[in-house]
Amino acid sequence: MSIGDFGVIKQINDSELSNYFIEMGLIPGEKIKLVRTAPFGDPMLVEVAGFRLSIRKQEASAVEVEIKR
Amino acid sequence: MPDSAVVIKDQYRIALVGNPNSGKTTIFNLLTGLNQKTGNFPGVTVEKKAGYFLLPINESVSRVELIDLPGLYSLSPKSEDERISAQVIKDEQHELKPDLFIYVVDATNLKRSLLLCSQLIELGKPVVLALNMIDLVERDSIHINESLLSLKLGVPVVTLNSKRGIGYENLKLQVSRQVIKQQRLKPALEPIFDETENLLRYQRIETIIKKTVVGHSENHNSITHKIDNVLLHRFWGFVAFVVILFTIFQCIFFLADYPMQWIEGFFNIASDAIKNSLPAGPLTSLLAEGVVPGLGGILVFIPQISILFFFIAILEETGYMARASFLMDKLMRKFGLNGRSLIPLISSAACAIPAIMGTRTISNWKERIITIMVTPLISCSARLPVYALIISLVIPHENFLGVINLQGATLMLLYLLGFVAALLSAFVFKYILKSTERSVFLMEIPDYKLPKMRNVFLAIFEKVKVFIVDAGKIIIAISIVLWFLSSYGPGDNMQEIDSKYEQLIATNSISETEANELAASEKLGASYAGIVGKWFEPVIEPLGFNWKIGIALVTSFAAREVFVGTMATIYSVGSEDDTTAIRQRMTTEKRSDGSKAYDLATGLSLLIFYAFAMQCMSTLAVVKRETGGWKWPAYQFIYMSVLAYSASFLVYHIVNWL
Repeated sequence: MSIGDFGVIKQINDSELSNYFIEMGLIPGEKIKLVRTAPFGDPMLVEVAGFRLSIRKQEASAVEVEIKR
Repeated sequence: MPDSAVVIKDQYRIALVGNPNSGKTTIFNLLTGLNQKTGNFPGVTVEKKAGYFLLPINESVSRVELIDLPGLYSLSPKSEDERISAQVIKDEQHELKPDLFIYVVDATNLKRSLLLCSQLIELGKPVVLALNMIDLVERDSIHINESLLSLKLGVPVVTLNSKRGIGYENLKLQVSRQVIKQQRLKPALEPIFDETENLLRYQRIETIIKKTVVGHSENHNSITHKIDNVLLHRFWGFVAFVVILFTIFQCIFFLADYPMQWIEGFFNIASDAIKNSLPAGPLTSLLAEGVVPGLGGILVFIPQISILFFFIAILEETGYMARASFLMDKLMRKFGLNGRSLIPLISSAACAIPAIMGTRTISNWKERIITIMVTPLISCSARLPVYALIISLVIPHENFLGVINLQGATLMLLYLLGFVAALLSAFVFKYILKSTERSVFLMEIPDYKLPKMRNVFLAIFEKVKVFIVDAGKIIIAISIVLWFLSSYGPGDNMQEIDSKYEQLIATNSISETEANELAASEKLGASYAGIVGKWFEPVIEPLGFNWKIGIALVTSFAAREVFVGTMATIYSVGSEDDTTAIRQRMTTEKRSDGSKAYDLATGLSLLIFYAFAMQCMSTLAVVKRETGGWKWPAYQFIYMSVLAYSASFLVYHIVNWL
């Protein structure tokens, strides 16, 4: 995903973190948009259904997204 | 409302619950006003905000207790502060078990907010749902059918517009109806909060939302987006961060100048008035030379401390604090910290104690311990009086290049130095501590909001109150003890000095005023305090400190700000002229060789010492409670003392050599 891209969350491929991510609102089926990255390229700022989350690249790689253009 | 005489006290306890940034604090402040009290949750040090408000229940009026629980996203907590909230919610035997929950929802973010709400309802908890920020939803022409939502969820629903304060009467009405019901429908099956169950909850919530919410908005806050284009820009974001901090420190010196002069003047007049109106005697001099200057020496810094807390509250209220964490996460990680460590680090510019409690949001143990260990290196407001006094003694009150206030810039440098020292120490700890735990940085970045001045001023009021009460108690006690120790000495020393100078006056070898000044300073040297200071002098002499500073170092061991009060007491005892401020008396203080006692080298060395030394019993006590033992506070005390002594030593000798 690059800046400005959006897609739909498919699933979270990390058994340790998936419930946590879901509780924080990264719900499969929701739209997600990569808004920007922090000055050193990490962490990233994503927008999900009406709110913004900061997430590190490392953890973001566990979020499977189907990109829509 | 009926007469307050029939108010029934504390019959009910109500808790505010909700996601972070849902506006709980605003609701809390609107309901309780100044009727608040900050304490701790039993057994732990998480700050417990409690307050009271009057509620008509049945025919009478009750004073109910309202507690503001730390925000959380679900009942499977990740960090310490979420654990506290989850405990109060779940534990039926908890001593703070609420009779009713007001569940606060950010109405612009209904789906996620309702997850925790549905968990609460499933547990059979009595809930009143408050849809906050309804004005923002209506602005986007979205309509929420409250009564249908209430029917579907099975709990009363009220809407709130906290900007205008609309909806509170309805909230109170619903609360008073619900709180007496005391229905507890124990769930037949203990609810489970795992991934599968949560996804099912979201499905049910989605169905409810589809039926109750009309209209849909793709428009996310575009103003926030525009501001972020600058404040989170990869280059300008950093520039803005530095400029914001720089402005704050310049303001602390500029804006506080006049009110400080008024307070200083007031205490000098008060001290004189006491001396002139009361009969001379030990009690009068205790008041005029001990208590009043000691108190004045600390109250004079209230303007600066208020300004500092004002800016910190503004940064938090507007939503900038979370963005600063976002900007700095990667840098923080290099030093073994987490983006979340930045909030404790910045807020410890006010006080390390709430900052250390604030580390409870960091879920990773190693990152949390490192943050706790280095946080006290950030210059707190208790150092501000010490810095301000010494800076005004040794740094000229001039502008550099016409615009930059030199004293303000020095203060900024000291804060910067504390920050750099904290980062470097963190870097060392990163290699000492071992941990395999995963570090995660998932944080909500709220929309920018105009700060609510009511919240800001209540925050300042609470913090300054705690500062005055806590610091005031210690300072009065220490200044009384110190006045005694510096006014009396062992044996007949004092009388001998008196008679020696009386003879000198009698033989006309010196003038009376000169004799009094000399006698006063010789008496101080012969007093108990002087003896302690002189005994301590060899240890601190390599740092450029004299025995008077030695006395202040001993007394400020428990709390740094006592330094100023101590100096005030030491330089007031036996002094003839009370209208001169302590600052002036310290400026004119001479060494035996005639040079200034507070020259640049000594001044800078003192500043560095106070920047790094661990002189705060309360912080050590909090670290002990937070880490569960004396091990970490002991390490902290040792490493900070070594750092302070060696840095001061180096600075003193380098400046002298230059």
